[in-house]
Amino acid sequence: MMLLEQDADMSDTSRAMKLMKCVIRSGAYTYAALDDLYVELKINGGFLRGRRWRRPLTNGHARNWSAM
Amino acid sequence: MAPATDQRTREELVGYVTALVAVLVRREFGQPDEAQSVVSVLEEFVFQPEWHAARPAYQRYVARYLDASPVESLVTPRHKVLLILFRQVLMDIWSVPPELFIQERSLQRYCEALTGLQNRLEHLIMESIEDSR
Repeated sequence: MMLLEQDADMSDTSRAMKLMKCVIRSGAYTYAALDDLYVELKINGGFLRGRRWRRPLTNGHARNWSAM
Repeated sequence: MAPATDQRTREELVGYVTALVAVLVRREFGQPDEAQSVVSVLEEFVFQPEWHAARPAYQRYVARYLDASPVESLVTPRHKVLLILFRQVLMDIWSVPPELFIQERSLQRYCEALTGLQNRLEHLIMESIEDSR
């Protein structure tokens, strides 16, 4: 019984680890997009006055995210 | 972004993304106990001391999801209420002037941009959930 409970715990941990990786990857992706959105809204003064908001994820963004 | 704005944006983002994962896990997993168990471990992983400040945002999103009215759930998928809240909070954090949204259909573009983001996020999360089954 104890072994079964341990197996279940490991399974939950393994699943949660995969989801945690997804949170990090999704967070990095979304942060990069939000950074561009912020530039459009706050610095360029609106979407139609500046460049498009979307740009590819760069290493710089990934570093910023992991430094949080 | 100014450092304080950047920090608040990151915290809000961590809370929002984690809440979106949690509600989609609860929706996709067959057994509520199983989903709750996985989500509890996920919360422990995410809200380590360095991201602990994001926990109130996470709790706010989960509470908003749980409080979604039946009428809201009829109009739009229930987890979309997270996006609506996220959109509003970001405008507050960034101090976006309301007059900006009166001009040039910027509000529509802002909403479209964030809707596109959430759709992409949902796709990534669903892939991860499938992988973790």
